[in-house]
Amino acid sequence: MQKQTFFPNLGIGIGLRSAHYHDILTKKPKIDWFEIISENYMEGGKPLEILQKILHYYPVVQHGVSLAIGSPTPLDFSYLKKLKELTKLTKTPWISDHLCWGRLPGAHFHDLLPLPYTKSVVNFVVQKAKIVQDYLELPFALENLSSYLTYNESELTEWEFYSEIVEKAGIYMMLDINNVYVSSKNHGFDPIAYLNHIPFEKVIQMHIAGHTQKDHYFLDTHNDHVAQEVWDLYGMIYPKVKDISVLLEWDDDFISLGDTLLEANKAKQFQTLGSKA
Amino acid sequence: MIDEVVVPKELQTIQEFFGSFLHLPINKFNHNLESLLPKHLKKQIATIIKPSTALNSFSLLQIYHQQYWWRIIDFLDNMYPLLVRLLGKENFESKLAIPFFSHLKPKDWRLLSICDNFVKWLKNFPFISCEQLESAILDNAYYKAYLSDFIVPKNNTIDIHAPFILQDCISVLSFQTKICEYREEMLKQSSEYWNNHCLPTLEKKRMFYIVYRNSYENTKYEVIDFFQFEILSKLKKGTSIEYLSKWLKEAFSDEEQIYISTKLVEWFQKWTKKQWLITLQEK
Repeated sequence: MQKQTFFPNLGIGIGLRSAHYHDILTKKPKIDWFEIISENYMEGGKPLEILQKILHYYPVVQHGVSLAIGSPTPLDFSYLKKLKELTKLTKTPWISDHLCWGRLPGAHFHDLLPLPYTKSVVNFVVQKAKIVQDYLELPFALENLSSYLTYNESELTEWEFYSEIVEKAGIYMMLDINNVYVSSKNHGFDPIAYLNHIPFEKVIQMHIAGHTQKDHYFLDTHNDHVAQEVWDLYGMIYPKVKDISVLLEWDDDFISLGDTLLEANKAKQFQTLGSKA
Repeated sequence: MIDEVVVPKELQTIQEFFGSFLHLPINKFNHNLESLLPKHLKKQIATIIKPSTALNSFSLLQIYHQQYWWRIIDFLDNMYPLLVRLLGKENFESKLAIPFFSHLKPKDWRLLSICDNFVKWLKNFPFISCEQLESAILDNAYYKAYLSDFIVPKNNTIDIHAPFILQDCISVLSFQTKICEYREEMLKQSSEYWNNHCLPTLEKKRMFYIVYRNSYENTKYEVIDFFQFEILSKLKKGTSIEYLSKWLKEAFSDEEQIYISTKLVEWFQKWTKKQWLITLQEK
């Protein structure tokens, strides 16, 4: 647990989304912190102007969706340069993106595509992750995906693959509990086994979110309340993660800012339970 | 900088296959695609993708295919709200968005480049009316105003020797219709509403507009006259007052010059007050 002396527990945060800009800036509600999707502010313009105002009142952490670290293309340093410039403005204490791929030469898929869980891919991503962390000069974390398919070629479990990359690269985990749950339903693994194998000393931040159950699979939609099963998983690991910043992602079919905060603050129930125990 | 990390061959094979599948136009998937797929492709999918207990390899890959297309189509839906309302969402997506992305796939993470490429593509698209094209150009100007920087000028005085330029968040536009007023009216209702109601009439008239984001972060339009249009278009490319004066003498008749000279100071005062002009150095 050496990590906790280095990384502040920011408390319970929510994703900063344009649907709530007005309420945030006019009401300035009590919110521990915001997470931004970095790319939404990297093109400048009105979103960046608004972010600058919000930074006066709230801590902001950057989370990206376009690094596509497992892609076969070289890292995009023009993207990383802009990302780093934004970190100077936000003063984010750490930065994260996803353990996925999403680019090919001349193509960007705007999606978080799953990687095969093999030793060679571990080594490949490890090398890239080290470069990214060195370049950004910030603690860098990768988030576990919600995924809808796996590859015949995979030779490791998802948690082995994820843990090995983080350990070998000397980076951190952005652990998304909802993604663990969604993937467990889609691929038929035990989410508790997954969480039992996570090196929690490497977890720098956590996500919780809602999902949608389709006919034959679970979809990570971030457009609903957090499922009870996901809260249960969070509650189960709470003693290990009580000092880790947690964030509610809500990205579609938005509800009011007040209701979003109510949902996020459900995470406090475990704090109470913890103190009673 | 460049990273020289070697890509595992097996990984690259999977990714190239996956990517080529995602790029298949979505309209081909509407009806029973699996049965239409060549045998070798079906075999390749089954070799690479592990089936789940509920879905076969093809269906799992199809989730990603649909997600890819829905996401990028959704980008365009949001960038071109007037055009979506004019055509109807379904028509917009099937007749423009899918052909566009089939022709020009997103190449990087920036949404503004998708927005700009679409309007460029549309200009050469044979099945587009003048009104539809003007709608797209106007929607593009609004999106640019939203995503471009507004720079606060260092001072509000004009040095006649210094080259000036209009802020990036400002577009100077010339249309054959009263499209800005029309856009305002159309955007009061959703595209679903306009599917079931008669569209208002778009008045044909030569119009000149400026679309800009103001210091309160709102995007606005203003009607301008032909002469302001010409001068602001020149300023959009960047020019000094000194050079502009020379150009005015060459470009306009004596009568027009007299009119411009009575207005020019007033216009510049207004443009500098609105912080539309910055020096090239500030840009």
